[in-house]
Formats: sequence, C-alpha cells, structure tokens
Amino acid sequence: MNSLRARLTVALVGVVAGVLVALALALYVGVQDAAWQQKDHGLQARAHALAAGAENEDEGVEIELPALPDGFAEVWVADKVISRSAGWNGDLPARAGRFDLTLPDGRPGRAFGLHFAPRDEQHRPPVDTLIVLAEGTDDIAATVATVRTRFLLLGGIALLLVGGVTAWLLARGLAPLAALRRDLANIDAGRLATRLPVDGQPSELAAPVRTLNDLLARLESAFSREREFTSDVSHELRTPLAGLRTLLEVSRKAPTPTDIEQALAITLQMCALVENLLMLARVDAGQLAVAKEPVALRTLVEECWRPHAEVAAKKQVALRNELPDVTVTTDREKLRVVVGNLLSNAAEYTEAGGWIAISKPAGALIEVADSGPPIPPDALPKIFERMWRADTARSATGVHCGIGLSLARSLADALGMQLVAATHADGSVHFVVSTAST
Amino acid sequence: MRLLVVEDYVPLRESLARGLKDANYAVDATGDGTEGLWYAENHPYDVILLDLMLPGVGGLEILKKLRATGNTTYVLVLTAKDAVEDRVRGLDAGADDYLVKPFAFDELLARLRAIIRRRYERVDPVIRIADLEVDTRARRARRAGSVIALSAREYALLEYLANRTGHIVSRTELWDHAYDQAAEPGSNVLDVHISHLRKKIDEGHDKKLIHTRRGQGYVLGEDDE
Repeated sequence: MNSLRARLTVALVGVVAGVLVALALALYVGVQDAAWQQKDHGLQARAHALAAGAENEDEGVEIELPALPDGFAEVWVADKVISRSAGWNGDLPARAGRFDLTLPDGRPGRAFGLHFAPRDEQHRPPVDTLIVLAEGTDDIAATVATVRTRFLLLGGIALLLVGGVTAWLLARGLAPLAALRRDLANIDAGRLATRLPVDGQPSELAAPVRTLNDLLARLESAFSREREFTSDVSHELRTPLAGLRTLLEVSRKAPTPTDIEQALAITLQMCALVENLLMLARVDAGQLAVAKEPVALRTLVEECWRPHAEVAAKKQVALRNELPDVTVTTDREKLRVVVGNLLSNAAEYTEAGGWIAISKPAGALIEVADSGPPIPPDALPKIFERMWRADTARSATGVHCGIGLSLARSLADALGMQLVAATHADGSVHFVVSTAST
Repeated sequence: MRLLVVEDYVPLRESLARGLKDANYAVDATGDGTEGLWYAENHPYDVILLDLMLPGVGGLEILKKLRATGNTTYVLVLTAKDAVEDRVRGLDAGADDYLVKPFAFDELLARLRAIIRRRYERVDPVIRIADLEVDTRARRARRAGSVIALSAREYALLEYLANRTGHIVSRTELWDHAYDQAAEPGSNVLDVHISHLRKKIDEGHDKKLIHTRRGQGYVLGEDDE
C-alpha cells in the first residue's frame, strides 16, 4: 500500500480500534462486576429482611417465605429444613456466605446464606437458624450481552466514522500536494521561469517547494546558458555560411581562382569551427579517451603554427620559437588542439608589428606569449568562457569563434594540465600550460 | 541607387559589394561601426545594409543614432540573429527590413528593389514615362518597344532620374545617388555619362525625355516645362 492517505487512514483506524477494544474490555468487566455486586447486595438485603421477620415461638422457629418470582429460599434450624419458598421441593446447599450454584430448575444461579437467631419475645436462648436465598443469574448475562451488542454496534459506527473522516481530512490536507503536482506538470523547458507558490503552503510543504523553486532556478539558468551557447554557435556558423553563399552566388557567372581560394578558406574556417564544437561536445559528454605517447614539443608547435603563419606574416608579427628539444608523454592530438588554439588566438589578436613567443618556462610545459594588446585584468577570468569575445577592439577579424580558448582549457583539464592566462606589466599576454602536479 | 554596406566579416562584405556593383548599384562598404555611422551620417544613401554585431559601434546603436538625429535613410538589417525577439528589436529600432544570414543574394536584390520602390513611392517595378520603360528587375530600358543598350553607369543614372520623374535632379544629387565614394567628384564624368544616356534615349525620337535645366540640373519627363 503506497498511498500516504490510505496508510495514515489505516493506521489511525487501527489505533482507534485498539483503544475501543480496550475500553470495551474494561467496560465489560466493570459492568459484569457491578451486576454481580448488585445481585449479591440484593440477595444479602432480602436475606436480612426475611431473617428479620423470623420469630422463635413455642412451636419452634417461624418464618414466612413469600413466593419468589425468580428465586428460591430455604431455612434450616439445626440442620433440619423448616421452611422452603413456595412452589418447589428440592434442596439448596446449606452454606453461609456467597456462592454460585445450579438452581433446582437447572439454571445457573447465585446464593447467599446467613446464620441468624430469630427474634424471641420470651428471651429463650438463641436458636441458630440458617437461611439461604438463591436467584438465577440470567439477568446478569442479559445485561452483559446487551452492553456487548451496543458496544459492538457503536464501536463499528465509530470506526467507520473515524476512517471516513480521516480519509476526508487527509484528502483535504493533501490537496496542496495535488495542486503542486498540477503546477509542476505544467512546467516544461519553455516555462522554466515559473515558480511554485510558497505563500499559503502548509509548513511541511513550504520547504520542499522552496527546494523545488531552487531547482527550477538552477535549471532555468542552465537552459538559458545552453540556449545562448546554441544561438552563439548558430551565429558563428551563419556568418561564414552567409559569406560563402554570397561569394558563390555573386561569382557564379564569372568565377576567378581568387574566389575559389576564398571559398576554400571560408570552408576550412568552418571545418575548424565544427571540429572544435564536436570536440567540446565530447569533452562535455566525458567521452574522451586520453592516449599516452611521446610527443616532441618543438615539432608539435611547428606543425600547429603552419596554418597561422600566413596571417601572422601579413600583419608582420614575428614568431620566436624558443622551445628546447624535449619530449613529453601525453596525448598528441589533444595537446595539438590546445596549442593550436593558443597559437590561433595569438595570431589573430596580436597587433600588427608585434611578436609571438613560445617557450618552456621552468615548472611549466609550454608558454605562448604575445605582445598584446593586453587583456584587461577584469576580463582575464572570462576569456575561457564559451563564446566570450575579447570585445570589439580585439575581434575586428569578423569570424572568430569564442570557443577556442574554452576548448583549450577543457582539453588541458582532460590531459591533467592547467591552462592559465596573465597580462604582464609590459602589456604582453601570456598563456601558460603546466602539468597539474607542478 | 547608392548603397552603404556595413559588415565586419570580410569575405561577406567583399562579395556583397561586388554583387551589388554588378547589379548597377553604387556601393560604399566598411567593416567598422564607427566608420559606418560616419558614412551614413554624411552621405545620402538610398539604402544601408547593416550587420548587427560590429566592432566599434554596434549595428543597433548605429540605427538608433541615425533615427534619433532624424535620418530617414532606409535600413536593411543583415544578421545571423534569427530569434523573433532579435527581429522585433531590429525593426523597432528603426530598421525597414530584416534579412537573416545566410540569405539568397537574389532575395537581397529583390528586397532592395522593394525598399527603393517604397522610397520613391512606386509599386510597379517597371517605371513608364511616355514610351520609355525602365525595368528595375531586369535592369533594362526600352523605348518604343526596343531595348536600349546601356552601360551600368548609364542605367544607374537613368534609374535614378526615372525614380524622380518630373522632378529636377541636381548634379550633386545624381552624383550622390549614382556614384560611390571611389568615384572622383568634379570631373566631367557625369556630363559624359549624361550625354551618352541622352543620345541613347532621345536620339531618333521626336519627343525628348531628358531635359537640361540650366544651373539647376536635369529632368526626366514628357514635358519640358
């Protein structure tokens, strides 16, 4: 039974039933005791009354025993029966005190025996006389049976009432839960701004409702980040696509080799973007297998630089590769993406006539520095965020995808490395990759 | 017709400028918001093609600044932002049309023609003056049913004059709307083009359509009044 309402109802009905049964037992015993006591008192009183009417006369003890409607009386003097109540001929036990017996007519009964000395006007020595009075006990059984029947009836009704009222009260009390369920059922991805009402909730529900609202707030911000990211990605893809489409449509009539070169360049740009996005998705999904292989740093950097050499040369940016010939053990392809994105970033942003320097400082794996413009200190923590653009001053190149640095950092993490950025006093920007242990 | 293209993605800007010039528009192009704003404020463009995400001054800001200063130049927003809120924001900021990237170049041209028709209060893409027909879709002119071969510049001049039928069009105005920034003002290029155009339109026809108003400019129309 998994319904709270049913469980509580059954529990409450059970408790009430237990209490009622205990009460009934106590009452039953009490009623029975009282009935027996009453019977005994009655017998005793009547025995005394009869005894009071006895008289010792010359002919012997004289006692008048009236016909008893539901009983028998017998009187002995010196073990000799001198009188019986009218209507029967049997014998009662000649005993003093209270006792149970079977009546001469076969019914169960109760008796009281009393020794006494009858009144004597002549004041002769007292004569020991015994009177025994017996009555049937059917009335006691009937009373107890009536009490029992009524109690069963009333108890049953009481239990039904308790069960019904409890179930109804619980249904009423749990109504806010049902309302909450309806509110929750109405919330989907498009309506995460909805908050559940806390005011007016019973205190037991207020806390979970607040927790649910917190959850909704977290979901909302996660969803909105996701939406922003998707919209940024679509922007990043649409812009080069628009360039490519317009280029192809405009040059369709008379294409030149330059057009084809340009179309190819745009396509490569988009390929790189899609690659980065895919890799980022895999990092996010934790589906990244990390290989361990010897990697010659200097060669790797030279390979990574090749695609950017032309852009840098156009801007007259000089590259200083100061890496020593060292071999490290890591995942070559992933390190290539990390370094590639750092170099791409440097090549893109370094101002004309500046420099880019690649070195291996003590305690670090690789450092990519450029002559600036500097990244303002308050922007430094943000540059690794997805789709963050180094403001307008740093992104006049049109297509620049704001996921390069973010991907580089995620991959560095996956490789067990750290990627940090700093702007030095001279305005140069330094990206340092270090192994986490150092 | 003279257009301004403000777009920071170089391949797109260059292709746009090239395609629009091929379509006989005079085109100025820039990739910088600040420069774009300066261009827009200092030249009487027929239409501005405006990207929204720009370095310097953003596209929306350019739009708002232009409208705030009473500049009514028609603006066609070109952007990668396709959400309804973005479109609404763009149109509410004063844009006249909105085209989401990537777009078909033919659609861009059609929208430009539509905007220009609106600007010169026409509904028919074919302008008719007496027996002269200027088809703005095909960029072709016919007189008395026969096609007149025009150079790109001559057609541009004719289209502008046709849009302003019956009005006196000054040399400066012609210069502003049919030539881009790269053309050299002050030369007699305009006179040469006009005289060629006049020869092709009017020669051999009794009714002259291109008239010179000494000291004021030119009129394209039936009556020399």
